[in-house]
Amino acid sequence: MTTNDGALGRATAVGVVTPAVLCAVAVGLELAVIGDVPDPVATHWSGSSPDGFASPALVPVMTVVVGGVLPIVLGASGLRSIRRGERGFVLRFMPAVAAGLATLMAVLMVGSLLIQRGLDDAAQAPSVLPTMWWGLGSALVVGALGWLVQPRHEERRREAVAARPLSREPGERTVWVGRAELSPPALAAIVAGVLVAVVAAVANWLVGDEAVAWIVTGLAVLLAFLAASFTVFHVRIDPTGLTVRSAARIVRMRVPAADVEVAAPTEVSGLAQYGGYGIRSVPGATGVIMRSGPALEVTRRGGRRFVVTVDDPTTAAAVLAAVAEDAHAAQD
Amino acid sequence: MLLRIDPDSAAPLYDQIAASVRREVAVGRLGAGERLPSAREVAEALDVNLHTVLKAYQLLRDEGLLEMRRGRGAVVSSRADALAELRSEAEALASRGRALGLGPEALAALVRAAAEES
Repeated sequence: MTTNDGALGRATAVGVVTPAVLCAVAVGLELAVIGDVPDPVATHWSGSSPDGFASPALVPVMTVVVGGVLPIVLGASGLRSIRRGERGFVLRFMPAVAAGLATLMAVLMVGSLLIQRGLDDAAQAPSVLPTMWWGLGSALVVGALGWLVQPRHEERRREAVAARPLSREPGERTVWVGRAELSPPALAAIVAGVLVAVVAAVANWLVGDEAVAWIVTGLAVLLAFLAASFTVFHVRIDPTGLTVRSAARIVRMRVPAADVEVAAPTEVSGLAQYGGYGIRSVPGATGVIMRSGPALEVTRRGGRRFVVTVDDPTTAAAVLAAVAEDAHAAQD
Repeated sequence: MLLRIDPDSAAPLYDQIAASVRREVAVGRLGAGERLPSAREVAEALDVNLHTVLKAYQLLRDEGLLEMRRGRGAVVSSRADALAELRSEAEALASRGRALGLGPEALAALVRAAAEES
């Protein structure tokens, strides 16, 4: 199902080309004035006076990372879905956010160098606040333009094909048990984050301030707790229906078998369709989205969808369709 | 992981559960290194006693199909790779058997007899 509404081209122009051009222009301007600014240069302000300093060479590097790579990743995240024919608010919104973010970073980074031209010492740098306001203002304008130049998105998803109920013998009990898990790199990043917090906590107990140590320890415990609770969800399909629960059973979501209208395997894109990962709620759907890729999609009676990412959604959907069939038969 | 049991069948439940897991490995839906759901999870889903599931896992561990790892639970062993290697030969045998009019039970008996003889 492809449509010639130009959405793909416009989204690419707004979410990828615009950030790339803005970033290139910003880096060009920074390199042009890098000889006129003090070394080190002010890179962080607290209130109106600078309190963080770094080599001027860091500014173009940061511009590329935060003002180029990050917006382009955001802006490009929905392109595959748009090419497949999907349309929706998030898919139109992401490229506009990318263009706005790139604008903000370009103005901020270039502006912070411009206000320090000709200074001997970066400590004399004037307030960065006016630059910030310019950045925010122009980011809003560019973001709004980016939204407006894209065609209207009529909410549309790829139609998931309903699974055929698994064939079963009379009297047979059929269940499916699986997991919704983070991708290994994402899990590694979270484990690394927890470790950093733990190391910081230990370091602060040994040499740092006691108050800080308490705070960092609390943070480490909280992070470890959240990581343990929400990096894996157990998915179960049994005669009562679909149950998804987090480790330690803190969160539990259920779709009773009698409520299942359609069970289907599908493909999801976390960022583009759900605006991120975790337990997500978007118009028309609730999702436990731990990664992009294969997922089980359940349409409930009443039309609302429940989506959970699992490795073998084809089998899961067939089992759920079978238990739903049994539940509906029992009701009649 | 798909599990099917028939409580009315003469075969013990743990045998049926073990057979389900074996089948998942045989068709390639469970691969080497994959973690099985906890015995408690399976017991609740199937509405059977926890010890029944533990006994099934134990059986599969004695066969070498599962490894029990502390803190990680039951993990599919590298035997799964060996099974995957034989899959195409099994399919060839099955299609020859079908051509000759043999059903799955007869074929299974043939393979079992050959495996037990050597």
